[in-house]
Amino acid sequence: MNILIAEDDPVSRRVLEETLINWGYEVIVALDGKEAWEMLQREDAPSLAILDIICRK
Amino acid sequence: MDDYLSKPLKSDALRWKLEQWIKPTKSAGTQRGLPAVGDGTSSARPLNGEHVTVNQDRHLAVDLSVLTGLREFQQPGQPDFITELIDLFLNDAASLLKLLHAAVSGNDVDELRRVAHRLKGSSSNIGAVRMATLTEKLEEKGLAQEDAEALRVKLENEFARVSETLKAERREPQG
Repeated sequence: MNILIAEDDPVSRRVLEETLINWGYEVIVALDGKEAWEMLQREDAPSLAILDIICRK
Repeated sequence: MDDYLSKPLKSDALRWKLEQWIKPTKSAGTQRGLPAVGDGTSSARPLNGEHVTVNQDRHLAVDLSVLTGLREFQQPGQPDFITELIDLFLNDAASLLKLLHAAVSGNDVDELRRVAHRLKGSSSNIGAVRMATLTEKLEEKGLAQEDAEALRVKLENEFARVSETLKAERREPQG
């Protein structure tokens, strides 16, 4: 069970990632919407995705 | 989309929302000093402060209380987290300022707004309050070229002050 973070701001992304890891979640990171979409198509796709709604691409 | 939270993101709200959908694999949180959801001790800690209002000193380039808040995420035995965030910000902001320069020179209002929006979020997150205000003006107004250029120059100068302040906050052996 893991969480995908798609966020183009590096500081937000890093803080969010660290927070979720601290809370005991497994985290994978996408730098933009395109990368996030590819990760969501995989067989081992994350259970939940946190998306920045105005993340470009 | 099943659910959403709006920015600025608060850790309480995020945790509460997450636990409605998915439980952590490991039970780490409370042992590492993070309060449990709903215990009332962690109210309104911004994870992504798009609107930073807690700036006591108007002349300060960086609202240091934002950095103090970020220090809470430091893990024992790990490299200094604030130093990592500062470096992420400085590199990102320098790239965005170059893009902004190109957008203003080329009078590309869409690109100007896009880059200004990114830089606004990034500046707020690290506590660079004046940079956030300047970029907000650029984003909202999508100004005429000469006005945008004047603001851009102010922004560059402010970034120099912010860099100086942030570099002093880095905690790493120099050299």
